[in-house]
Amino acid sequence: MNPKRRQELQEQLSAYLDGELAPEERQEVEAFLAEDAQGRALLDELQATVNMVQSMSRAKASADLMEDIRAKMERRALLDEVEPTESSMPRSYRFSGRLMAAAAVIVFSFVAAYIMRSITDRDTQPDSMRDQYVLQDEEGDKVRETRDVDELAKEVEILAEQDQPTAGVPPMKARGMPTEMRTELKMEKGGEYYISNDVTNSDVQLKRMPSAAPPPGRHKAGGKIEGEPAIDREAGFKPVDELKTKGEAVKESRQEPEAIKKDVAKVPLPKRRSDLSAAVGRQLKEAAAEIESLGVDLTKFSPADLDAISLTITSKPAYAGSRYGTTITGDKSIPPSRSPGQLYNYQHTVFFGGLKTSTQPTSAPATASSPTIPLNAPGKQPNN
Amino acid sequence: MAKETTASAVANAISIDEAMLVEQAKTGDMGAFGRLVSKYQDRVLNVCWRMAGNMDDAQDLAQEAFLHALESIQSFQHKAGFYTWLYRIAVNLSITHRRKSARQVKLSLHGRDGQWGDDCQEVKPVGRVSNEKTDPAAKLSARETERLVMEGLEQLDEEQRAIIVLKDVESLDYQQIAEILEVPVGTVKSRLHRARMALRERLKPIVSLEE
Repeated sequence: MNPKRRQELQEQLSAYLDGELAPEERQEVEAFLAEDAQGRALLDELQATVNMVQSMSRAKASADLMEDIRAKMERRALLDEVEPTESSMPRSYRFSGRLMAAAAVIVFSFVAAYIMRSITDRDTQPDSMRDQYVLQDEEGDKVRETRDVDELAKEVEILAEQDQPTAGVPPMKARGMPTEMRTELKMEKGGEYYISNDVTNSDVQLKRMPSAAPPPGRHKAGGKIEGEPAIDREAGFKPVDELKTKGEAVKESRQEPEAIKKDVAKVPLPKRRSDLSAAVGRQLKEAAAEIESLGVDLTKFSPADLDAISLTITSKPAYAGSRYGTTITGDKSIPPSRSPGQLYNYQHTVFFGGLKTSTQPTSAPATASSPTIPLNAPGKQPNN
Repeated sequence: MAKETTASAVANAISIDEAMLVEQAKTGDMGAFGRLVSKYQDRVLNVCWRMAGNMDDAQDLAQEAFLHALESIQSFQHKAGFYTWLYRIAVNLSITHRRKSARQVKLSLHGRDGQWGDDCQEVKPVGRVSNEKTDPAAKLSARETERLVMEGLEQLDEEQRAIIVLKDVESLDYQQIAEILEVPVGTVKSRLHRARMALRERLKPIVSLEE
């Protein structure tokens, strides 16, 4: 047999082992093997090689693989690592990530706005600030949507239908999204405030915002500002209706949808979670500034009250099995002992994909003179 | 004959079921996509494992392959089987990953002189070393063999490695491999033989022990 033909037949040996030769080719190879010892040795070595590869162990994928995929998809949608397009991604995914981010902003906006309102409007029964919200697109200031809460609820219901836990698919683990995001705003005695963000189980970097000293002349609430003389808090007092402050502007704006838009819709829809965090920080800072601007008004509190205004926002997956949902819980409190006239403990929970958008007071009135003011006051209708 | 008909009917039913799942997944039905993932996750993971050489990268690659499939599922036209398309994604991602990891230190079966090297001696099972003189035909442990085979695979180029993984790890036939790699069947045949010859050379020391 000439060397070239021999070489050709040797090159058929792998296909011969795999049973991938046509019958006539197989016969030719078998005839070659019958008379060629080197050919048979090579066949044995190839067979041994194949056997070793085939005998390698096999791995079993994690039961969480699908959940990991979902979490990664959510994170990408949120972080815009992948720019979703109409043609490349299921609608539910495209929508939910952005809506979730928007929801977070909305809730934070409500909470921040509520602080302002609760400070400025505590002598009247407050209207719901949640009766309208405005989203802005991430490109700039253009208002994208303006809907009321009922419309939002319908949208949530639609999402929820798509968000039912699927049989056989294990519940979502909060991978890729924070298991807990806690944003805290505190007003301290003397008017200083600080905002801090803590995120658990997330690769998102959130920066602690530095303490900011109040501007000179602000917070004449009896708290001593270093370098300034102690202030007689009664001397700074003015009736609410005489105030010409940003706080009052907010109060007025609640009467007009356009004004609400101006005040509530300052946070653009973030493109990235870090932007969301920064936006939340900015929003809270604005809220703090508003509070600061009401320094005169704050004289109605005992100076001791100022170390007790706190806001805590916690974000968690809405429920086990939720793909998109997040529960955002806000808690703002002024301990009864520090604020005999006011008690604003409440919890604001948004179940995204969980059919529920609600705000509930969580504390009963401490005394007859310190009523709990529910956000959804019976009989109160949206002003628009 | 009846057996073949039954098998064919079952295969068709599976194919139809899979096509339905794909169509449902296209509409955003994550449950349907989840069932496709469940069906193929082990196979995709094993392809990625043997291509990447380590489980950590393999898990990332498998996840990435399914994500890519989900993102691209609108473009899937049923011209090939779903698994073919999915394998293609996984193999291509793995090849890209390997190329990017070029700086990765490759372990060698051979010493500087091309002989059985020190690095291999280090991992010889203690029992084998102690018995080697009295029992030269002592077999390597299964785990040791697997490690050496993986190292042998590491030294192949990406195309050779992919074809061995698809054939000898995943037991696909030449036609299926041709569809996944988008090459003619003849190319599969010749490339696979060259790849096995190259691996045989690298595994020669243990091939002779195993025989």
